[in-house]
Amino acid sequence: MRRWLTLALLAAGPVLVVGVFFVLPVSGMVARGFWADGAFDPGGVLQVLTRPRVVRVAWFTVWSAGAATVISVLLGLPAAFVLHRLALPGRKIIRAALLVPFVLPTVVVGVAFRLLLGEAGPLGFLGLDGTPVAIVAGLVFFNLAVVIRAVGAAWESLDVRPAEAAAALGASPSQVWWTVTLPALRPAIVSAASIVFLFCATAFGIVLTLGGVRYATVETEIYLLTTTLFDLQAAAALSVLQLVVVVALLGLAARLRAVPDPTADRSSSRPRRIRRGDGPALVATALVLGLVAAPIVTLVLGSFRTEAGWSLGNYRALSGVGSNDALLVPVTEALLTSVRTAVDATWMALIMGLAVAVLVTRRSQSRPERRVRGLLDGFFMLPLGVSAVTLGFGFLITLDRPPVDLRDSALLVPIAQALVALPLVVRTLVPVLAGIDDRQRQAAASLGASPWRALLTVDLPVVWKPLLAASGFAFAASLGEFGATSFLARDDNPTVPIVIFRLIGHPGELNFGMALAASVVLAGTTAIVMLAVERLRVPSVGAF
Amino acid sequence: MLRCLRTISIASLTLLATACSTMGESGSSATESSPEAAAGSQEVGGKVVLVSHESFNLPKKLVTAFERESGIDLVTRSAGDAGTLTAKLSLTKGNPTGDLAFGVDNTFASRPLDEGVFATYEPSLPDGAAEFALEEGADKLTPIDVGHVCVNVDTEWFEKEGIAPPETLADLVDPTYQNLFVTPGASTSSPGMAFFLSTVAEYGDDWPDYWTSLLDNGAKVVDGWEDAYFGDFTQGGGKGVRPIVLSYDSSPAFTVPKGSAESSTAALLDTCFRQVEYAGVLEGAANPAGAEAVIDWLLSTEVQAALPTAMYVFPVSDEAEVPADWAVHAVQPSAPLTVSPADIAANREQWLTEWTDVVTR
Amino acid sequence: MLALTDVSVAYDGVVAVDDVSLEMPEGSILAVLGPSGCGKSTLLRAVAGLEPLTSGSISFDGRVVDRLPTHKRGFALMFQDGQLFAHMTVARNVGYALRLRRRPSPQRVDDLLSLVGLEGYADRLPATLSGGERQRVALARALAVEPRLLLLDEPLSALDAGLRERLAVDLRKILHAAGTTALMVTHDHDEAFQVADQLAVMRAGRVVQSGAIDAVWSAPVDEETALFLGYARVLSGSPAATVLAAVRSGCERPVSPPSLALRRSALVADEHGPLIGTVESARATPEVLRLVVDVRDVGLIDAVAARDSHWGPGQTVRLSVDPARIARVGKSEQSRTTA
Repeated sequence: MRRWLTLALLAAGPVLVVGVFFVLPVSGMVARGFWADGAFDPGGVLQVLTRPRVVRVAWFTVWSAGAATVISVLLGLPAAFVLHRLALPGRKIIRAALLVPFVLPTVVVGVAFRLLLGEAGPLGFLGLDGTPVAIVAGLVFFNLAVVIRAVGAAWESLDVRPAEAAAALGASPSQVWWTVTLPALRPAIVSAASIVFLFCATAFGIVLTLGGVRYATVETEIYLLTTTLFDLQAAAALSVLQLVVVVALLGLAARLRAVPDPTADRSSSRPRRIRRGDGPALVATALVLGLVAAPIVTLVLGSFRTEAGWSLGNYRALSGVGSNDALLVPVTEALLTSVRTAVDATWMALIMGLAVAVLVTRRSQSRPERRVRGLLDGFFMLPLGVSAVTLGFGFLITLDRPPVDLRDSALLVPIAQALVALPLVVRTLVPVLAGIDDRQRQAAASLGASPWRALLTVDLPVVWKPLLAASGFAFAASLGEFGATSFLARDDNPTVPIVIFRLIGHPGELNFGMALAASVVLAGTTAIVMLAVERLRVPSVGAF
Repeated sequence: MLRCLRTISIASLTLLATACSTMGESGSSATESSPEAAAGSQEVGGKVVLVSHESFNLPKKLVTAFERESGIDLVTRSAGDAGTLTAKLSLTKGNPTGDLAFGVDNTFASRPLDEGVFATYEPSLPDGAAEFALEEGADKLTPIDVGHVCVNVDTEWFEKEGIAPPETLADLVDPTYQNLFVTPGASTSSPGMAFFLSTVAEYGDDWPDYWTSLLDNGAKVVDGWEDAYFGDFTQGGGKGVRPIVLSYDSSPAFTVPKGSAESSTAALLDTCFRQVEYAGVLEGAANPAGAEAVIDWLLSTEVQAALPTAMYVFPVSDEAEVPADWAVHAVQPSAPLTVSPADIAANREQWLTEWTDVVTR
Repeated sequence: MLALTDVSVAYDGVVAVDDVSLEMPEGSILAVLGPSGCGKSTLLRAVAGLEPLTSGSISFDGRVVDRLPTHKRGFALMFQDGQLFAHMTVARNVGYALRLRRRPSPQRVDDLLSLVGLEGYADRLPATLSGGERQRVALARALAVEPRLLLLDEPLSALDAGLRERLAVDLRKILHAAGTTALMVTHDHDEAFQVADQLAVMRAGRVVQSGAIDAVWSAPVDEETALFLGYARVLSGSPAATVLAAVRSGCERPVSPPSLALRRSALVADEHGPLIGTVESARATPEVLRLVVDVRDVGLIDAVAARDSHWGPGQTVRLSVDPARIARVGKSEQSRTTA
């Protein structure tokens, strides 16, 4: 009974937050669709799913997200190996830099990709602009870092001896990979792939920008249906479809991720010298770096180009409000707001994430208990997989009456960002906590330590570094968050991504240049934060 | 940086301990915004919340002066585009997030009017503004600004190539201008929708044929106006290669090279669709009197004169003077294309579905 | 036959294996004995191909294997803790190398499992096995493809004493039955004696002595080696001469005696013994009574007495020397030879 009480207490906070700020708004919005014209009409909603356009959109979503996930994993694996296993000079900086795309606002990435792939861009001859290939490339650009970090972290802490044992039994490098290394990495790969798929399937800005109007995904379609056509019934149908797919995917991932014995001996092996056999992996990594660097280089070059030729003019202009007062506040001020909001989002995500991680990793004593823990684990991943549009409008129609009249609250932005960062925090902490042998806590208890004291003596020393790392990750993610923030931010307090969006939306070469400069500043800030996290040398960072 | 991160984490721990938030200092209005604070006063004064789209922007000086004179505390909440704003207003009908709304345009006006989002308020309009009032719903929505979505051309490019720039919508399907035109899509962009409506106004039910020819002639359809202008247009500052773009009648005022007297772009005045933006008091507003005062203020000559610089649109009032470079470079069409809001509301979904089919074919 | 010629291995400039030369004939079992950190595991990994050589070369049957990657050497390495693949069943672990060579054979797997005494364990997962069972599975897995050379890294040290002894005997039997040439490293001299027939003693990266196990045993090269081989004390000078004189009872004391290594049971209480001393302490063990005796002209030294005799501190005792339990320390004609 006491166990259940503890479980309930730990779960209460996060469940309440996710309940109020996620479940309530989404179900409110979906309910509007089901009660079309005042009458409950589930048939009408199901009817929507048979529309040829909806089927096409759903298929394209699955197809593009699936392709992007597969490519991200295929490209990310060799890069994870090279950057986490080999003594490559400068690998820490490269690892930090690889996370930059993850936090760049989609508008900026869109512009960067179009500068690159557009008819006059250096890669224009490929004719990729506005094709599904460009969309998939953009999605891969965003998500490679997730694969590299998650798998790389697992790989770094992987014991090399089983692989050596296999080699000593006569297994060639490729046989070692298929029979020993891959099975050991499988949980990390599955986790990373499922997160990447969720990110891809709910990508919004990047699909709109790179796909033009020709390619719609479920996410862009929900936006179109809600804001332009006001077809709430169809939007609800798609939201439900999205939710069902996400839940199914999470269930599948949990199953594939399960290993008989999660207790891990975390041995952080020294990176080894580069050998001749590493050639293919190095080439693949170079390819990855090229894919990531090209749009960023385009961006950086653009930020130094002004009417007067190459100069720092765009950067100097950041303390102003752009030409023709494009902005209400200078970018520098927005950067402060961004940092402040991100700090708030970070501690919210950390507190919730820690509670959730402790909750789902405690050894269960009974089957129902294990089931409840498993369900909670999946529950907190949901915000990643649901349309920001549905959530945003849901806020407006459900949080509109006391006691939760929060539509106007300045806290909504950090809360929304915390919801986005929460899964990242949870996925960083869970493997670490799960890796702690429960007998250590039992040993502490047998020596007279209370559960709280045991937590302090056993868990805290192991978890504080990953916790710091998770805070860096959450911080970076909320710095770059655009979807939910654009919906909720108030114009007297915009964050940098919002400001960048505004700058791009106003004509004038200075504004365009400033947008690029602000993006570079945002990217730089992120890279520095991630480099600091990198310095903490936490082997499990981002092990989703 | 490590130390910095530590500081941050210590800061967050402190925050945790004191259960307060850094937003406390920046978001002071979180507590002020309770409806009770404003509901006490039915006279002018108190707090007024203006809901708008993301392009809403007025000089701080004007706002401060207005607040001082009227005793009103004006708070703006702007996010999303016109479509998002309209959807938001419809969804929160009866329990609005503000007192008045600005930014619903003639392409979106019908729906919120039909749903009863707006309360009645008919201010006295300045000279010239009546022309822009709605046929139905003029008692609820007040015209504030007007802009025209027009095809723009890079005059410099055409001069250099020795080709005469196009002039009409019909010209755009001429093989001379093959692969030169870029426009944002009707389904994803509000100017894109306006351009689509101008083709509907021009060609009526035959618009699908026009669009088919347009696409056959190499027109490029992108997501948003930013993409088209900055990504594909030759004068967009980026590396675009298309000298014809869908933009606004005011855009040429922004492409006057330093030290030059002439703009390097021009709007084609026979291709323009008129977009009028309205303001209206919301039904269920906490401070309707304050909202009405704000609408009066939006019609005042000072605000009207500030609109071009702040929001790239023309004032509806004849009394307001437009900036000098606008007077020279931004020419308004005399007979723009229009489609009635009721027609738009009735056909939007079908039009967009058909349009998408044509474009994605 | 495996031959190491002047092999050195260094990590970041720190020499772990220093100029080691060894040869071992086919079918022999060589134990490399040394304290932890002496470089013996590195030597083993170098033979397996897991560590690159800094200098020197390794050849097998006359062919240099230095540049051959691990999996092409045809050696099998058995790790200290088995390193079973946790995601595979016992049978799949054992059959792993067979599957690699595309000739899976359930029959061979069954045979190997019965060879190591684990019939019926085929479908168990490694996590459900005891330490000894895991080592047996690891051994079966290593033997599956009949490696030209089996490398064993402290194969028994993770096990408890009783199990270790039993498994050591089994291991020797199994290796001889299979006719496998094996190179084993260990820090435990008992383990080495129970399993191997050749011995190489390693210290600080160098092989200080090697040869047939009895030869090394009976003539440790220096005091440290003697102590490491399990001798309790090393005497030199006058005490050594005294003990030596007692062995060749009646003979005169040699003029320049060698150092002598004595096992704990080298001196035995014997009423006719030539040495006389005073009992300092006595402690009963299951087999003998262990004494510490202050022997005249020698000093404090270990001795044993019959289990049923009664000795107490302060009593005077006569001792004789068991020549089989002492060894000359220092260079002799038997050391440095290779078998």
